[in-house]
Amino acid sequence: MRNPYLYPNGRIGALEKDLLPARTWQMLLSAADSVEASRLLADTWYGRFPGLSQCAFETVFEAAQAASEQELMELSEDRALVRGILHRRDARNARYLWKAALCGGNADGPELEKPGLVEHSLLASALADEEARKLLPAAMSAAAEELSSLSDPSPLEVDRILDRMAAGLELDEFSSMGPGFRRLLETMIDSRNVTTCIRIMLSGSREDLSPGVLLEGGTVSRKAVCGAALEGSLPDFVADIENLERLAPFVKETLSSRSFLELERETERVIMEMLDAGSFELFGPAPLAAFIFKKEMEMNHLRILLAAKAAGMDRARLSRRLPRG
Amino acid sequence: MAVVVRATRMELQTLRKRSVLARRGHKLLKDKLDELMRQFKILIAEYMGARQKIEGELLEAYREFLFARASMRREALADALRYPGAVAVVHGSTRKVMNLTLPEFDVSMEGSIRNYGMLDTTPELDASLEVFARVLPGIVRLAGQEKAIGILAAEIDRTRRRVNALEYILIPELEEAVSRIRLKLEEIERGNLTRLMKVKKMAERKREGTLL
Amino acid sequence: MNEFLSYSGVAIAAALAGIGSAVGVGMVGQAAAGVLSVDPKKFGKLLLLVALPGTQGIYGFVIAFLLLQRITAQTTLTSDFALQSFLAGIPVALTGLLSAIHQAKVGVSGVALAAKQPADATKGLILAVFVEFYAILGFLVSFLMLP
Repeated sequence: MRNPYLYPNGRIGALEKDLLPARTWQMLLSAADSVEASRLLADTWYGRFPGLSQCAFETVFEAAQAASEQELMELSEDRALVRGILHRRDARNARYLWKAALCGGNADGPELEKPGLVEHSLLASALADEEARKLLPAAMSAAAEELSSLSDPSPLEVDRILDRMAAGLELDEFSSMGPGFRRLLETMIDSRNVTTCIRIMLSGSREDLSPGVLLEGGTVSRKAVCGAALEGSLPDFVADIENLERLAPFVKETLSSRSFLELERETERVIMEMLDAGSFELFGPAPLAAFIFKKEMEMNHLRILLAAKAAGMDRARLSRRLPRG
Repeated sequence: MAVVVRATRMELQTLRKRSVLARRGHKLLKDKLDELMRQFKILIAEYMGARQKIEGELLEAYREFLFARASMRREALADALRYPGAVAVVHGSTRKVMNLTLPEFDVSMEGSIRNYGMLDTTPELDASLEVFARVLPGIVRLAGQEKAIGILAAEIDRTRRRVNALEYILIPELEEAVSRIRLKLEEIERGNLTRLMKVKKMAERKREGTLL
Repeated sequence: MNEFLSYSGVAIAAALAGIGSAVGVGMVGQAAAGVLSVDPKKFGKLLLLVALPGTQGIYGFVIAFLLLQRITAQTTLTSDFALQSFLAGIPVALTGLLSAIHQAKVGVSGVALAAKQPADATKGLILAVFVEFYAILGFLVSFLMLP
């Protein structure tokens, strides 16, 4: 009857109180500028990181991110979960490095994030070196192999392969996490596919829209999304996707107004609600993963809020994008 | 007083001619100035309208970009924008307004502006880049207009100085010289006349004396 | 043979109910420790939830004790008596084992509830108490079945 998640989930349950409550969001939204917002944040979990009083928000968020990941690694006995969270950063680093190598970036190399579970040097050598490729996770090494076989690829091709790799990595590692969490991932893939379709349609290159540019693993097939988009019945199609029903009017609105702000907001709202619901499966790793996702989302929203406040954006405009308050 | 001349009939003739010429030049220059001003006003109106429109669009794009920047990782944003997919070529040409050569720029773009993956980038980035790309030809055209306005303004300045020089210095001076010469010549005329009358009287008196 | 049968009734009652309680308290204890590592002030609220799956062990122990008393009081163990004492141990043993573990699951959820919404902590406790009810029934049946 040993269950490795009881202690971590108990702790995460208590840590969730560190997430900013709705009232704090309200106060943050009505803050006059970023200085006032930083003063409000000083009383929260973020107050423990140095740099807040100087408004050095990037440092604060980096430290906060590192702290959450540290917590995750200490708590989780589920290697797949840790891998799933940290490999996302490796996938991004792989993109920066491989794209620079294949498409000719600047001389002093691309900017990199700090490594997740794979060292920068290993990633850098993986394109040319078959031995190094063997040390990478399956999805990454497959992508590296595919990339190294291409001759003179365009950035767009490289990106397409890397997009698929990143989504594959995520799905591989997280799918072992029980049905609730799998549903969340599938919904996220669905929403990404819908957004991708809209982005391609709006960029005016309909011929680029093919099932190949979309991600596998959603609740609806790639072909179906693609077909609906080409037929122009995307809003109706979205209305039939489980969990995304609510997005239908916003899809329609985005297609006509070309502004993604509200669609992004609603998508994030759907995912936030699913995260809140999923966090009650107490005997698996899902609450832990949900907690990390929530924290990342919160930081992302704080970044947006602080940037908007620093630029003096008014509250009405901000609340078109921010699914808080 | 600058025009110092000998008071001769020949000088008077030349000065008169110069004065007429100066008047005609003044009129021509004045017409040119008016036309330049008209062109200048047209250009300014065009420029202000275009500029306001572009500024409005840019403001909107920057706001959109702000969201994109805040919700993307710094490295991911740098990566997405490092490999431009579109090539913009600026074409320069000229057009003639009066005798001036004014520059005209135009820009043509090829390729897709969006040249990055979909996974780590936000759609707001698409939207802001789209606006930036749409505004770019306008900005380049604006640069041409701005230069043209500068050239036109310099020309107006020069022409106005010439007009003023003619109107307030050269023409008055010539006229003054002409009138001075005329006065002088009249004086001489009168002197000659009196002298002739005197001589005539003397001659008459002499004849009467001999007759008497 | 009769002795073996009657003593296994004692053993089964104490052991299975005890195992259930140990697993149950262990599970809730882990979850509670997780919460306490962040928020030690919650100790009072979580204490009862942790202790609740422990009661099954006590029931098992009481039955085992009473049974042992009856067995030692007999001078000769008839086969009827032996069978009766064996069967008397079974209800408390099985209900104790299963209810303790399930109560622990409810308890873990209760701990999560107490961590997130301290005001609702008692509701989690009440839910766990419902499971207790069936352990008590098993205990009663065992008690009435005592030879």
